[in-house]
Amino acid sequence: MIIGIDLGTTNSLVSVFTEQGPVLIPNSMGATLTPSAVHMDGQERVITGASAKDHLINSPGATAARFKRLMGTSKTTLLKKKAYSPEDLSSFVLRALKADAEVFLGQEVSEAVISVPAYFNDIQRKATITAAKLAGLTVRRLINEPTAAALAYGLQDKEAENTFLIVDLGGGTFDVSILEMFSGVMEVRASAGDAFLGGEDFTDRIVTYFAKTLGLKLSDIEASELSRLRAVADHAKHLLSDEPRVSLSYRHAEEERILSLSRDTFEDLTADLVNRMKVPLQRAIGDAGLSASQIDRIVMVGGATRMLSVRNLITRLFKRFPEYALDPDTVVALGAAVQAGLVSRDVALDDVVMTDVCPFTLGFETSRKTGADGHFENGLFMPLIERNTTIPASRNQMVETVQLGQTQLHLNIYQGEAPYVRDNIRIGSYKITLPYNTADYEKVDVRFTYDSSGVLEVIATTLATKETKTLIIENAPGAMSAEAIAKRFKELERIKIHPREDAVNEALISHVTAAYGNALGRQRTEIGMLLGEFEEALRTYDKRLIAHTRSRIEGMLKSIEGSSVFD
Amino acid sequence: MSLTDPFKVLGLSRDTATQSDVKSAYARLLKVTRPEDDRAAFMELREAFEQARRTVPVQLPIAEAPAKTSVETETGSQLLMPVRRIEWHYDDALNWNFDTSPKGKLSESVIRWMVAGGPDAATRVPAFAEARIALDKHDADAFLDQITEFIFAATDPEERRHTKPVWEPIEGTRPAWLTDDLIRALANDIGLLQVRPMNAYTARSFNTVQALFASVLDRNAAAAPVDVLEKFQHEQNEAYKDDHGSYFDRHQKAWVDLSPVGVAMADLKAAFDANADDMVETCKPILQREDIQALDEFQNLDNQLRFHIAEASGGNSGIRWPTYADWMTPDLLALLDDTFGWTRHFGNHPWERQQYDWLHRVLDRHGALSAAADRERARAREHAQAHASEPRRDARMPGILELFFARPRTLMITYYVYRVVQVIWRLAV
Ligand SMILES: Nc1ncnc2c1ncn2[C@@H]1O[C@H](COP(=O)(O)OP(=O)(O)OP(=O)(O)O)[C@@H](O)[C@H]1O
Ligand SMILES: [Mg+2]
Repeated sequence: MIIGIDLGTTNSLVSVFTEQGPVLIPNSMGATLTPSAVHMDGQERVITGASAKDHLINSPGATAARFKRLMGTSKTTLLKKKAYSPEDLSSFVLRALKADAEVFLGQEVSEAVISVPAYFNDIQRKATITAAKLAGLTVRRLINEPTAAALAYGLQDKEAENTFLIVDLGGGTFDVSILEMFSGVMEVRASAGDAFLGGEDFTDRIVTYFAKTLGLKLSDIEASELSRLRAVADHAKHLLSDEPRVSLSYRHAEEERILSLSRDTFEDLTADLVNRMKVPLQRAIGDAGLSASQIDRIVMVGGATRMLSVRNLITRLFKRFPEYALDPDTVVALGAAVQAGLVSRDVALDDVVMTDVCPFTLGFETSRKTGADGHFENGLFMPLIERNTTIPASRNQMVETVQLGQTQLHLNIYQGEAPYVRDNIRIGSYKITLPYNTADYEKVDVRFTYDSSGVLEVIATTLATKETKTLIIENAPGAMSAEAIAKRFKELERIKIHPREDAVNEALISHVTAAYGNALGRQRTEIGMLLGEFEEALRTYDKRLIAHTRSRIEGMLKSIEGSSVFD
Repeated sequence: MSLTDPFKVLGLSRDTATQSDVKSAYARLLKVTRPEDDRAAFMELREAFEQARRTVPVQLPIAEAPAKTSVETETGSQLLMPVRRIEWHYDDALNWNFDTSPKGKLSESVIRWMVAGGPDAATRVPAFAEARIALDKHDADAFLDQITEFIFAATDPEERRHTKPVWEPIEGTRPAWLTDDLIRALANDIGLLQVRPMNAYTARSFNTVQALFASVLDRNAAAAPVDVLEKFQHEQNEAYKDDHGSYFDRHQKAWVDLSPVGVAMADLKAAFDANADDMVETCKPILQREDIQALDEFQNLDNQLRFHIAEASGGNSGIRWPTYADWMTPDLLALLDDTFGWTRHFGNHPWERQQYDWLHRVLDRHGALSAAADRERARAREHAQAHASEPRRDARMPGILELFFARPRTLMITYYVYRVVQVIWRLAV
């Protein structure tokens, strides 16, 4: 059984393709959205999901979130003074999702289709595959998030002829894809995006604004305080999608402060972020060779597209209202399940094929003779696979040495659109050893193959020796060797996961603790008492009593909190 | 790149395939040639699909009306409509394009007969006249237009027709082969100049030829020339009319674009030309006008501005380095670049790449390009800081010297170990 996973910046989901079509799998709390947060508890056990999200406030030093943004970098996060890479942290989330799927399906799961932002580069894709390996999952295929969304939409009417525009603004990334559908073929025509633009950036702006109204400097706020402020800011952002202005209470230095924000101010604070969305939209339309009026359907994906300013932008750019037929939070996961069905050859999908593109140009660095005097201009970018080529694709190019007797060739691989490599992103470099030859310039055939997951393979053939080598990216940030992955897998396996049966209780405790952090005075005492009462019940190990207390506390908490930060 | 015929791969015939045939053949084959099953086969199919899609015209091939008779296949169940393509060939000596359609063939024989001085008029002219009548009305008119066109081209050896606006009349010089007799035969028997011209361009040819013929044929001497400008105006208005009331101005002899983009463009150009101190302040609100923010409008304005700047700096005249207009101030260029992101674009098609390359040179005049690059770098730095990298666990072993000197603790431990060993050594000895 292959599962589909949407590994999001803020929320992750797991799904499976069944006879009824794609189905979302609930987690131990009964929810389909699992917040992408990881907490290391007092007994060095890992907690993920909603409870971990609450722990961001209770114990920020032992909790991590938004680590998808770090994928492909070598930045590590300290939890309880131990360093974890973004792959490690993602693997914890994946492990939890895998466990949820196994409980739901009643069988072991070892393979998955994972969705990634279309604009994820090669390094970030490989990091995602590594994270899956660390969680004991084999990635059968990576699917681009907007493509997954389109699959879910396209499946509703397989035979329709349509041109889709998918706009996906999630927590951390922004993707745009244009798809053409005909006779059961879903063909991605163009993709563009911004890997560092998402709903969380909007929250950041509110945090900065709130800090200013509180008269604080962002750098002076301590971690747990900041997490609390962030939660308030996020809540305000969500409310602003429905209301013109919000006022929320926040405990600061043992006194209650009211933080308010109007939609207009919010839009001023984030105008440049909204403006940045225009560039990928324009590029995707241009690359597909279409004009805005030729798009049949505009589909919005990702929680952050609920923001009014984003909807308005799309309406203004395309002069019509976008569609929301499917839930923007879950549509990517549904599409990942469809792709899992495709990979496992589900008969229900026999008449559906999907082809995707690589969203950026890939090539390598070359030199050019600038005159007869043996001078060279270095740093030129030689594109090999042009952006928006349908994948899998394979292209080759013959290169030759610039000097006689040269025995080494450095192949620097870049991604980008600029004519000089200094303006593009380096995704790795290779060393090729050549035979010593003073009579001729050695020739090497370089072949790039881009597979369906958007992962690059480079093969170099030295012409003289006919020696063919599949090259492994040597010094790309975040790249791990197979041995390193196996070793880390063993290490992580030793870390205990918080027992699944316990998740509901654990989540309630962390929730109550977080509520305690934000309350004042009498309310605070009340919440403190609830917490004590619940812990008391837990100590009895009486399942019935625990469940009873839990539901009572949940009810009381709701009435206490009213319109507080926690929803 | 495969050398196989893309149409063979798709199981289609090159001559009859349409865009939708190509698409559905691809769709059918794709379902049995899935990319995940056989990568090489898929890549071949894809290559074939892309090539075929490029070669097949979007509409039906330019063709004569299908032959009236339909051919039955062996099974007799399916009717086939053979599509005949027209072929064109160019005659160097006459500097003229001929085609193989019936009317094209007739034009060709008439033209060759004319430039030969019109021999055997007694037999040939009636034959031509008859052949003309045999064509249907549309083709017959088109045939006459072709002949008029040819004579017009022959009277204009300096090719002023390519540089002069269509509404300016061109006075023809009569070529030697155009004898009085020939003129009479063409006008009276074959019917030249008897049908009013179809469009503004043929109208100009018509006027020139009519003026030439007038001296020979008295009956045409008084005929008024066709109003070319009016025809042109009418055509322009028909072709480009929009919801904003844009129109061709007969007096200015120019298209007045009243669409939001056209108005914005005109206002921007006016601001550029005035080049006042507050030019940038004037341009900013124009660029932010609500009615040009939609994607299509915005791209349209972008295109027009790029073209205008390239034109104003000599980009379309083949010189190597831009000549800067006074209004191309650093502030203005920075504003435009901020709005359209030109420095970050490099174009998709070769011609577009060329244009961007030129534009970058213009922008670089005041280091605008470097300023934009700096901004970009600052953003990258911001990201890098946000994701500041700490050394990786498995990155590399520290060098032995680093081990000793970078970490005081190691140094201390080493020292103590040394002392202990020393003491033990002393004791032992
Ligand atoms: N009602 C709302 N109004 C405004 N923003 C919202 C709303 N609901 C969710 N969001 C925002 O949407 C983002 C989460 O969206 P989503 O779950 O689609 O992202 P993700 O899949 O985790 O991230 P990504 O796809 O970028 O990796 C968060 O930033 C959240 O604050
Ligand atoms: Mg998402």
